[in-house]
Amino acid sequence: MPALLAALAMASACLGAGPEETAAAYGERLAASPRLSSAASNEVACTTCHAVSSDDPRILPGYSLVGAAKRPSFWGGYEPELLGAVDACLLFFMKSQPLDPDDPAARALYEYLLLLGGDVEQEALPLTIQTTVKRAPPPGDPLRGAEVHRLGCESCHGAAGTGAGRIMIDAPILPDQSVDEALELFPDDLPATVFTEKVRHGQFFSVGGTMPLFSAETLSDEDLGALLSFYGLQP
Amino acid sequence: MLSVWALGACAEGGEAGLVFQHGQAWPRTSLLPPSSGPRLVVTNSGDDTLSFIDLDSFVEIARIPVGRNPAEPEGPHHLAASPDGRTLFVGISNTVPVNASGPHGSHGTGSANGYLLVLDALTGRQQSWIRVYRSPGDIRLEPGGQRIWQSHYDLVTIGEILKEMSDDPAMDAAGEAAYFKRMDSKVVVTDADTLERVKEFTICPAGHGIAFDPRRGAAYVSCGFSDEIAIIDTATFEVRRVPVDEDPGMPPTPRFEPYAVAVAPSGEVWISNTSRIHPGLRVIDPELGAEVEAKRISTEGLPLFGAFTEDGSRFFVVTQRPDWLLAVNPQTATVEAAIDLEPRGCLNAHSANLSPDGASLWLVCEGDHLVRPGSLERLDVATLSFTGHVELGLFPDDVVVLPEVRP
Repeated sequence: MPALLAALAMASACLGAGPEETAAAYGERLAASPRLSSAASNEVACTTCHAVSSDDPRILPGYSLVGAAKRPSFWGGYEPELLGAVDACLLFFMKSQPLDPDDPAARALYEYLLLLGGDVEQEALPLTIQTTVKRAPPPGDPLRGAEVHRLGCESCHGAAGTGAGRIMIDAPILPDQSVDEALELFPDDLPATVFTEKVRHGQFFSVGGTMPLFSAETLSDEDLGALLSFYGLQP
Repeated sequence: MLSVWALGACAEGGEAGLVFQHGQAWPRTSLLPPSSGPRLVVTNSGDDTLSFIDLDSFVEIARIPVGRNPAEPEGPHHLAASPDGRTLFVGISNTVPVNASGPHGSHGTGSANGYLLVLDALTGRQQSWIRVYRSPGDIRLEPGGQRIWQSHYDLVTIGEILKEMSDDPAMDAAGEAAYFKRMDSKVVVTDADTLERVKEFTICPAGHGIAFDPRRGAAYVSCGFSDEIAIIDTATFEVRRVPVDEDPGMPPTPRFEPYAVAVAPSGEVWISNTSRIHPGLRVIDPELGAEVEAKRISTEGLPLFGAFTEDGSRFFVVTQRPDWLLAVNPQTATVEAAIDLEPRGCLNAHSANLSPDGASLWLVCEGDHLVRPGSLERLDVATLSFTGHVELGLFPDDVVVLPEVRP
C-alpha cells in the first residue's frame, strides 16, 4: 500500500494539516476532499453523497455519516463493516484503492466518524434497491421536481438544461444529456424509463459511469415522479 | 490514549502532525462465532449469503453476506474449501433467479464475467478475488487442494453465436464448425495459494459439473449443450470429449443435457442427464472412452448431484420434479430405494452429499428460489431416515464441509 500511503500523505500536506492538529479535525477535511481518493481524476468527496449534520437539507444517495461509526452493518446488511463500506465508496464512486486501516490519514477519518456519533449504538438502516426498472413512476408536481433537482441533483450535475456549476465535466447535463447516454444502453425504452433506471441503479446493473444509486429510502417514487415532470419526461 | 503522527511534507514544505484520541481504528471483528468444531457451509445463491451450520448440532450458527458488489445480486453458486478448513472459495456467477436489469439472469444467463472469491473461513471475511468468465458453474479443488478448477455454464455466449450464425447467409460447413468451436466454454485452473492462473482452456459448450479421479490423473466435466463429458488430463490439460449417449444433440438442441458428474470408486464416471425428454443416469468407462449402455438408468425426475459411498456399493442422487432421493446399486445399475423428499419440506432437491465418515447424507434443497427458503436435510445412511433439518436462505445451491481447524 505504499502508493496509497504516499497519496494520502501528500493529500494531508496539500490540505494544509497543521502541527499538533487533532486527527478528527483532519479527518473532517479529508471527508470533504476528493483527495481522499488515490485517483487524481476523482472529483467527489464523502460529503458529496453523505450529510454530516442532521440539518443538511439535501437529498443524498448515501445515509448520513452521523452515527455511521456505530451502525452494525451497511448497504442494507450486505456490507458488515464500516471499513468495507468506506472501501466500497472509494472503489465504486471515487475510483480509488481501498484504505489502509493503519495509515494515519485513514485513522484520522475514523476518528472524525467517531466524533460524528460514536457513543451510541445505532440500528442498521434499510436499503431497498429495485432490481428491475420496467417503468417510470407516475408524474408529479413539477414545482416539487424543481426542488428535488436543486436538493438532489444540482450539486453534481449543475443547473437543469445547462449544467452550470456541475461538479465535473463527466456529470451529464440533466435531463437531455443523461437521457441520450442512457438511451444508448436501453434504446427500446422511453426516456422517462431510462432516466428512472439511471437514478435507481446509478452505475450498477451494467448501467455504467460513477453515479451512486438512489434507493427507495433516499428518494421516494413521488419525488422521482415530480423530478421527471420537472424535466418534461413523461412515463 | 493520545498519539502524534508526523505526516509527509507537501511540496510547499513544512511538517504536519496529528493527535489521535483512539488507539484502535476501524475495528474488525469476526463475522463468525469462534470455531468449535467442523461446520457445513452452504451458498444461498438467491440472497447472496453463506450459511454456516454446526455439524454436530445441525443448527445454523451464522449467515453472512458474500460478494463483491453490495448493490447487485451476484448469485454465489458453488463453493469449495481448502483441506485445512481455513479458506473458502466461492464462485460468483451473476446468475440470479430474478428478472433483474443489467448482467443478471437465470442460471447460465449472466452476461457479466464472474469471480472466484476467497474467504477466510474462520472469520467470514473476504480476502481477495479474481475475475473468471461468464456464469462460473462448478468450483472444485483438485485432490490435494493445490489447484482450483472452475467450469463455466455460459449459455449467453452460445446464444450470441447462434444469432451470428443465423445472420450469416454465406456460412458453409467449415464456417459452421468454426462457430460451434467458439461455443466451447472454458475451464479456469487457479493456484489455491497464490491465486495465479495455472491454466485456462476450452472444453465444450456449457461445462458444469466437475469431478476428479486422482488415480487416473483425470478430471471430468459435464457438457450441458453438446451431450458429452470432457475428460481432462490433469497433468497436461489435454481434453478428450466423449458422448454420454448415442445420438447426442448439439447447441441449441441437446438431447440429454448432462449437468452433474460423479466418479465411482471403480473409476466409472456417472453422469446426471437433466433433459426433460431423456432424464436419467449414464455411465462412462473412462478407460474405453465410451458409454456403458448396460448401465443406463431412466429416472422420473431430473437427476442432479450425487455421491458414492466409500466402498462403492451405493450411489445416492437426488432428482427434481419429483423431489426424490435415489439409492442406486452401481454394480447392477438399479434403483434400490426412492425416498420422497416432499413430505420433509425439501423443494427442488439439488445435491446429495455424504459426510466424511459416511454415516450421514446431506441434501441441499433449493426452495422456490424467490420466496420460500431452501433447506439442508440430514439422513442416516444406514436407515435412510431423516435426522435433521435446517432452513436456509433463498436458493441454496451447494454445500461443503469445513473441517475443524486446529492451531
